[in-house]
Amino acid sequence: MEKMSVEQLKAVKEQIDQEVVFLQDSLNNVRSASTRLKIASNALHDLSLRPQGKQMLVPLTASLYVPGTLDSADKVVVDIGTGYFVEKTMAEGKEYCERKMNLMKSNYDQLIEVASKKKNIADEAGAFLQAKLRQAAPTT
Amino acid sequence: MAGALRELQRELENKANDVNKLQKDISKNHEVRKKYTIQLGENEIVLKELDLVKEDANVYKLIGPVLVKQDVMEANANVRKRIEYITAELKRLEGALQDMEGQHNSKKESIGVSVSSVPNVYEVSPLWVPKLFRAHMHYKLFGGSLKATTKDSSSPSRKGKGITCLYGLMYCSY
Repeated sequence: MEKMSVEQLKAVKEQIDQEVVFLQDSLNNVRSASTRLKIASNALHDLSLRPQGKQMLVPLTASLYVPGTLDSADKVVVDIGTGYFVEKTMAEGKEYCERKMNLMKSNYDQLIEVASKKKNIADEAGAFLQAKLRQAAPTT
Repeated sequence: MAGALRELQRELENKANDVNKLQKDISKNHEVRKKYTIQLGENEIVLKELDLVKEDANVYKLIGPVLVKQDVMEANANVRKRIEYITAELKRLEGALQDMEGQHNSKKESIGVSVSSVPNVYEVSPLWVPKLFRAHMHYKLFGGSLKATTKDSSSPSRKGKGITCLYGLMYCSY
């Protein structure tokens, strides 16, 4: 990096900064996804404890609920993405949540590692850039 | 002299515009590719999930607001086809990107050549400066082949070997 000109360093720094921002976004996304999975898993667990024919209020919108009875708690329909849904048993559904959470966890760990590396490189480039600018300043 | 200068200026302007346009196209390509890559990842997850599903399981596809029942095999084939399509599309975009980058580089070089071939310019029209400077910015951004010209640009109007760098790519011989 020492051999690069100020312009090149600037370009490199900009690019890495962008990558860091992108990685941060991904991290946030993964975090919110795992929170949602956690909520889903909790809801599933809660549902499995209820007896059949239990009275409940079903949310139609965030503020509108209608009364309903629980038909059966041993079949659930899982959204697996891109518009596909699969009917699973309660145990399978729980397993699905578990698996997805593990996947998120491993993704998260990987992302953290990459992001911190990138951040270090960005800091380094910034330091080089400032040193270069300081060097250039007295001569002009 | 003035006529030749104006001619050269127009030519450079055109080239700079071309380069700008190419750059816009390239970043657009990047965006589209990003979108497709995300979709590919999602589809792969779905495929993995569908592979885990038992053959007689009920699979539904969301069409508008309704869930339509679908065969596992059919769903599987659908997702596979989608992945195939996205992969092909990604490959096509990759090729287009390389094409554009090649064009971009050659355009940049052609600007550099035409600027360095400017013969003994003593007067500089102020109109020149921003245009040339803009063209110059591309070199800075991409670290192109014009290192010799960009090296001096950090200290404009510094004299060296009878040639003074005025602004960006603009050189005057003294």
